[in-house]
Amino acid sequence: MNPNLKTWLKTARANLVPEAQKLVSEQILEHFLNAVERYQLEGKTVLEAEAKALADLGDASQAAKKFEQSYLTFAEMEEFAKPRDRARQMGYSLSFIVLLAGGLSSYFALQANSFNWIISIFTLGIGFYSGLTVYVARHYSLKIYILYGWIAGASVVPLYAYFVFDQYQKLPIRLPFTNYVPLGLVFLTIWTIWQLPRCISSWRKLSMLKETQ
Amino acid sequence: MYNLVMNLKGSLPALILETLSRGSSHGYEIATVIKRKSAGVLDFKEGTLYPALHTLERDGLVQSRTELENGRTRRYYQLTEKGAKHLEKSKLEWTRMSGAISSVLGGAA
Repeated sequence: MNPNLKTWLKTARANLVPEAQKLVSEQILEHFLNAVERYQLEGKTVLEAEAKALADLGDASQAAKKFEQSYLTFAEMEEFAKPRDRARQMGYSLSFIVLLAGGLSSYFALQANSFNWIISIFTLGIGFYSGLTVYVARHYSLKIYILYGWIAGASVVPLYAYFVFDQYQKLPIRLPFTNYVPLGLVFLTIWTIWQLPRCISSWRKLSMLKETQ
Repeated sequence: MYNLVMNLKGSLPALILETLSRGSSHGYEIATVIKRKSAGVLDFKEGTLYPALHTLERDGLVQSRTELENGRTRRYYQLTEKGAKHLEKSKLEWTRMSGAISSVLGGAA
């Protein structure tokens, strides 16, 4: 490959994920070779044709900005992957809690000679854990953000309400407990609205990469 | 979907579709045809052209295939039925918009 083209490509694709880098390299190389071919047909030497074709590509930094608007960057990928990893970790933590709760329940149930609710807890726990783990492990998309947000909201809101409510009893003026649930929902809605455009942009870029491969 | 209001940047998808309506073509050829037909006014750089082509492909308006020619791989783009319909819609919108703008700029009372 022409060393100047190599430098141009290095700048233009620097922040893109490997799949996008490959795509950009392929299309630019093809474009460059087509341009060289055309200039040679017009009577230019190889060197002249290559120089002209390279000049046609324009400024590499400007091209980089354009490519980054359309293709997935490392930064976006990292941001995209974070919730998945967190959700996965959360799945493992939940599995631990479910197993611990199952073990403790078994112990107490055995002590009390009652087995009915062990089955309920295990069925519920295993079902929830398996579903969550499989979902998190298999999906890598916008849904993870929604799932993550839902889990976070569903976990945080009751905990928050519970602890604040507990403290609230000591205050001279009290608001009804139910006020905290709408507050939590407002927080969750704001969080989702804040995250959504970035999620959609990353998701669209990722789907475009998959389509063109 | 694409904004049918035709500013210069927004018109690229329609220009690509129009170029492809005359037969399948590769990226370089598409850029050359647009530049030649516009007498050099519309010179879209690669950083704009290829992402636009890939977006069109993702949206099902064009489809691509790779061919081996003289030891080199070339990706050819082709208009789909959906793309042809979209092009017609874009052309109608462009005619309507350009007519309206001309009326205003032409100074008609």
